[in-house]
Amino acid sequence: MDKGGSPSSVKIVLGAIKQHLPQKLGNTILVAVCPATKDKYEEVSQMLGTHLEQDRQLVREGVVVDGVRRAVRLFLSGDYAMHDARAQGAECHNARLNCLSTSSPSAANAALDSVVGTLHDVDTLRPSHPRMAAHLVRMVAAGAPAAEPGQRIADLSQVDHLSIVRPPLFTIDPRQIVPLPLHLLLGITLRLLRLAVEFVISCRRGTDGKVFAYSLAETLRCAVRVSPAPYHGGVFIGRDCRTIAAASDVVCRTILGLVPERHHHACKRLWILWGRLGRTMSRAGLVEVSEVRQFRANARDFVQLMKRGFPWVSVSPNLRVVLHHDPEFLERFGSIGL
Amino acid sequence: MKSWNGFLNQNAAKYTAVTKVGSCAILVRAMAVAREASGSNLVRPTGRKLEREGTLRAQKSGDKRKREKKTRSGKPQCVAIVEKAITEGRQWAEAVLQAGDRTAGTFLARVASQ
Repeated sequence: MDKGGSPSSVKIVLGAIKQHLPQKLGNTILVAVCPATKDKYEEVSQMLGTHLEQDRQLVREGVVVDGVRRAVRLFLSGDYAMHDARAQGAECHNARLNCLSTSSPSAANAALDSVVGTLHDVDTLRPSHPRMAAHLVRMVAAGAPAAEPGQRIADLSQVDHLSIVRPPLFTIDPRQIVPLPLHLLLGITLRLLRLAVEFVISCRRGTDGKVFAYSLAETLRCAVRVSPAPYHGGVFIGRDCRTIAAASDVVCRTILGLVPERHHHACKRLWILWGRLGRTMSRAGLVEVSEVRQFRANARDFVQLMKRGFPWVSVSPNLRVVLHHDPEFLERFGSIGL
Repeated sequence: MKSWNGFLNQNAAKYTAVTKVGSCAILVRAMAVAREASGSNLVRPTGRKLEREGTLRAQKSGDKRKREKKTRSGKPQCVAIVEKAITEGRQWAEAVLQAGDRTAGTFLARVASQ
């Protein structure tokens, strides 16, 4: 499920994974198109209303292939904001659907932070408090009209409802939410480029930062041969992001002499690690166990280096997905690109 | 999934209706029929098929059809396109600078207050 296009509309697309060229247009089925401008819960709920019962039936009864009934495992794919919009409200402290950690440590939520941790904990190998499907099922029951007083979502405390303030539309295991390599690629490439500008601003003056930002854009245009696309929100498209990662030494050379040597080395290391992660993530094929292990180690190194080397960087949901969700998904299902 | 956004953008004129919902319904109906007919109907043909392998490919290093001979890295053919790319690059740089400045400024202020 994804929103986009002009005029904006939401497309619900069905695909079978582990087939030849799973992302090819012809290998997917367009289930529904709905005009929408925002990922609002009411709109998403209304759109999915007609399909939800069929989805439940599909998972419950499976499909018959050549006279044999086969089980169906439903994977959910789409923007992370859309996943969160399905069930959470504005007053959410731990709003991510695949992890209960809060965004950042704060005095107001100190009690909650101490229980579920924050996104800034990058030392743990696995998320200490993943969100469970059983909790989503419980919240569906609590959001039903037949729920008893005291058991309704509105009556539950923060520790009980864990930021689920509206009945979830799907109750599938959050570990089956497919990470989106394209969104990670776009978001993290832009973050790494911005990091270079932040280096210069923090080590020198604001005016140097402006000159550097212009020269970086010019280097990307002339040496890397990529330009931001206006139809893509004025940022680089996915193919260009891969080109930038492949030519990362050119980007790193632009900060040489402007920042201390250790920052330059850290920047180079980040780009190298990101290049390796990106190659594994975007491949639609089974990944070897040794590569999965390497991916997990690279992801940990990447996020830890970003957090420790550059203290102003806050761990975004995208980085959290790279650190925990991607390696786990890769380990369980053998591929992220599917 | 993203390619469906592009597909609808490119073919919006084919699926017009009085309301947006009507337009969406026409598209879904047409795609369901097209899928029954053939998977290839979903994809817009982008170019003609080569007769034999390598027919239209550059064979020699001096061939003008080679990528590096075309634009940007060699001699740009159209000044307007280059100027547009520079402007867009600067817009991108300003947006990145603004966000980076805010982040670095907040961090430096926090460090100074501690």
